[in-house]
Amino acid sequence: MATAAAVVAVRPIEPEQASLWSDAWRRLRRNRFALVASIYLLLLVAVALISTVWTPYRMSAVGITETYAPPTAAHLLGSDELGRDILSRLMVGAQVSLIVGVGTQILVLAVGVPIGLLAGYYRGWLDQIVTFIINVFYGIPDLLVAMILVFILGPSLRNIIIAIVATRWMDMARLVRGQAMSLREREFVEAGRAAGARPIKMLFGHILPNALGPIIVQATLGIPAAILFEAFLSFLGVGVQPPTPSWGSMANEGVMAIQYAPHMVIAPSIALSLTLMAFNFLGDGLRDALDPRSRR
Amino acid sequence: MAQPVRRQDLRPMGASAPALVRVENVVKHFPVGFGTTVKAVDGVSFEIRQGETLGLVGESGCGKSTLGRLVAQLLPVTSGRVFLDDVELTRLRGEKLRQQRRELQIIFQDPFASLDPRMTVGDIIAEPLVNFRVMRGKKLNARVQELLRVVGLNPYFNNRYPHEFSGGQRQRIGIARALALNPRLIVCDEAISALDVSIQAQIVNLLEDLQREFRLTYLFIAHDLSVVRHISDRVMVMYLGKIVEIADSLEIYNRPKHPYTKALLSAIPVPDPRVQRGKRLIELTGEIPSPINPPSGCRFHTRCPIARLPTPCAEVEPQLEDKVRGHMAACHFSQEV
Amino acid sequence: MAAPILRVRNLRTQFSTDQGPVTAVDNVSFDLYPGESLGIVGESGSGKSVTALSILRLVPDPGRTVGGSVLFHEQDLLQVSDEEIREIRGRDIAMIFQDPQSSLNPVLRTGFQIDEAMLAHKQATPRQARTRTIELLRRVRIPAAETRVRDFPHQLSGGMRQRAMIAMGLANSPAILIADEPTTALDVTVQAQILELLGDLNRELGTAIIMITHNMGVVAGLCSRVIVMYAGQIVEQGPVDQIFDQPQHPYTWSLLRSIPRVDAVRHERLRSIEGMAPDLLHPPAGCRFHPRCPFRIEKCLTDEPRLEEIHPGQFASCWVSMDRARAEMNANNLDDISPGAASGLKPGEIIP
Repeated sequence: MATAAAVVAVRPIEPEQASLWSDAWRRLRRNRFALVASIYLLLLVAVALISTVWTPYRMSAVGITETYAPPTAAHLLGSDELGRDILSRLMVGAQVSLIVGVGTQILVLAVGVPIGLLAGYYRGWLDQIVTFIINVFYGIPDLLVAMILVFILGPSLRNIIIAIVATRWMDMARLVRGQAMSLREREFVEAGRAAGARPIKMLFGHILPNALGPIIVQATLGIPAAILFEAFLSFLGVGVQPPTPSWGSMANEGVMAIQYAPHMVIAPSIALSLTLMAFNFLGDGLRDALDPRSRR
Repeated sequence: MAQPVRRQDLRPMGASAPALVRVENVVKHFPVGFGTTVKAVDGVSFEIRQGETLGLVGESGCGKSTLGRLVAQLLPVTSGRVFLDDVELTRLRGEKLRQQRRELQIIFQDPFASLDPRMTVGDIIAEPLVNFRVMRGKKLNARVQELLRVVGLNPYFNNRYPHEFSGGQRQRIGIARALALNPRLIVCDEAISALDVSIQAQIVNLLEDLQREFRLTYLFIAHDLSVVRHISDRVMVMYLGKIVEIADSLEIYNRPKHPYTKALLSAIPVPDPRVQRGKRLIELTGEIPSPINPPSGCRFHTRCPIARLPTPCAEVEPQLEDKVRGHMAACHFSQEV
Repeated sequence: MAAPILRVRNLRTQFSTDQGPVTAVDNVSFDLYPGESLGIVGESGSGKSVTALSILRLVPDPGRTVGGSVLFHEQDLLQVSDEEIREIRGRDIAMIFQDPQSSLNPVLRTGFQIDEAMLAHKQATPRQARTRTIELLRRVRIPAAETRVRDFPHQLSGGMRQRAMIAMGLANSPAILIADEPTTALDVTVQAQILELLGDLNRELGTAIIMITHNMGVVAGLCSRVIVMYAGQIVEQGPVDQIFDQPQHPYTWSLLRSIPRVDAVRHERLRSIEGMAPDLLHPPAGCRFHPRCPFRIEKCLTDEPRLEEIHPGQFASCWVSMDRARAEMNANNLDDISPGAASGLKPGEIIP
């Protein structure tokens, strides 16, 4: 061991510990679009948080100015058909969008990941049942499922989230199932089995961490889809109920007044579009950063 | 890595050592749809003796890797039995089988694929110890560092990730993981095939040193007969899911008793121009038949230079039997080889 | 000896990476004579394959040949137009690769692809091409060539595909055939057949062969001259017999001693080369092999050796060379070949 010891002694030990995650983080920071999108989303979260304690005006205060007022210095985005401040309502609407977007994806992860992992890792009859259920859910139109559920459960934020999850969990389950199926054939998973790992450890210690990249991307890209779906439901009038503002219901009200108060539809639409774009750019950035195939 | 290199004979404890592993008539068929099966391993029996290195060679598709996984209990057998001492491994399921994994470890071919990229080297080596709750905390840490040192790596590398290492270093990590539980048998599945020539020698030497130090038994699987001969006490040759010959590694080179072994030996290039130019290649005609529908009788008869057709070679399956003391071959005409 | 048909001079190929340029081929010069069979051996990262690719300007991005010349029939292949180099590829200099699977288009019939190789260079009419294709497939010993010619690549076995690739390489009777690890993906029995075939073609057709391989045994059987590469540079070159009998570079010497031989008569511990090949981003100063060399002297740490003729026709780039190491450092009886073992220049003492 003499020479080895000598080598150890003379070679400084580099402190750097480059995990694949820190590698991905470095690549993500280099992506301009994703960076700008992240900053926008952080601001959006900040706005939503602020709006829980402060808005320029009370968002449900009726007639604080004239109805259909165009933007002014006092009301930066003008007022709506009841003379409510649009900026205040937009800020509160951000809460709704974020809760719906993030909330559904958390539930989608909670449902889709375990189902996908079990089906993909164990295969056999379990997989067949899961695949069957997934296909059944895909067979029913999204809107129908969501509207029926909202009608049965009643329109509330919680029930809308449940309705969206019911139409979205299959994407995640299917993705995770595919990942688990390909990862279980990899040698390091076999090595884990040889090392005596129990099934729980196999699933959550080896398979899940290695599937996390695509899962994160899918979840991130699922957020705008959910936000859009909520906006659509609210636009149709089966979403969050007044007076709680949602960008979707605000756009709906705006469309009716599009002839004489176009700012009513423009403001929520731009907020919605920017947010959707930001999540999509972030999702794409994450995909590029996390996808090992883009690695040289 | 830094043991003084001494020229010495490494022949082990002798051919009379008791059997550690017994494989009895093991079969593995993989269904490939429409009622057909790939007969990857089709009825093989052999034993691995305590403290020896048993080499297993054959060309791609002969079933050697499958056989290795059957022995290591990473694949269930279709039929047949595998014993470790007196424990019938093939009958165990679930937790009982998991407990036996302490005794059976495997080193994989691809040092890039066999280490979990999301885990640190320390966690990878510690995994078996954690799974079997052997130790924890400071003791665990010390053991991981000791294992790293044993395989010739810097013990302070335990916080690093696999992708920061070269192929040879990764293979050392895989070896450290296999050693962690003090197993009795290590299956080396093409453990050095993916490495550069100069690194291969390092790993072969390391495996030999570890065997002596920890009294390990190896099943050493490779397609390169020169490496297998070098490291093994006995060599087993596989063709199309069957074992065609088993013999002492010196004996198998000097007096092969199966025409396939002989052809294989003649095909291996020797790094010596004079020997290589003077060598006569025994050319095998045709291709390896499909393991879905292997030939009748002796599976090698379609390519065999000494086959007598149709009978017995195409009709009667030759049994693997003792030809000379301890030298087994499955050939009707082994005396003519 | 006849005039060389290929003169490679000071070839330099770099790959740009995030951390800076990596010189994969560094100042490589050699000659290829008509009808000879030249082996280029080295481990992964030695630059052997990139050398071959550089000759035909096939280096993939982000690689670029930044210097040197490749003279073929008085023209520098690195200077000719893209059109001209395309004409030369396949017609005058053909190349076959390790993986015949990915070199053949899976949706086109094998014979058609060989026909195309001739038609692309306007060497024959379609009818002539097909006749010659069948003749070539026979030549590379594909049984039932008349029917095999209509097979798709996936219908052929690995060995057959490599034979078909060789047939395609020979289609225009090139002067030079570059084979880049052509047998690495094949089983030994098939490898032996392919090597025998290449040897026969070399003798019968007089095609010069550059055989790129990591396998010393392959070189021993097929080649008459060999170039040994290490870390992007040629460390030794010369006639095969001399290199195997009396290697002059410590790398060649230790590499040969580290390979187990199938014909070994007794078990001896392998003498492995310690350490690993250098990171080409930061190659060591002086001789690139010095961190692993048992015979290094102080000069090796700072001064870069050049190729020098040590025996007639045999060149090595080493300040010590094995003749001296044998005489002064008792190399033949050396068991411990750890870095600096023979010369006494140990690692702890030299790295500050």
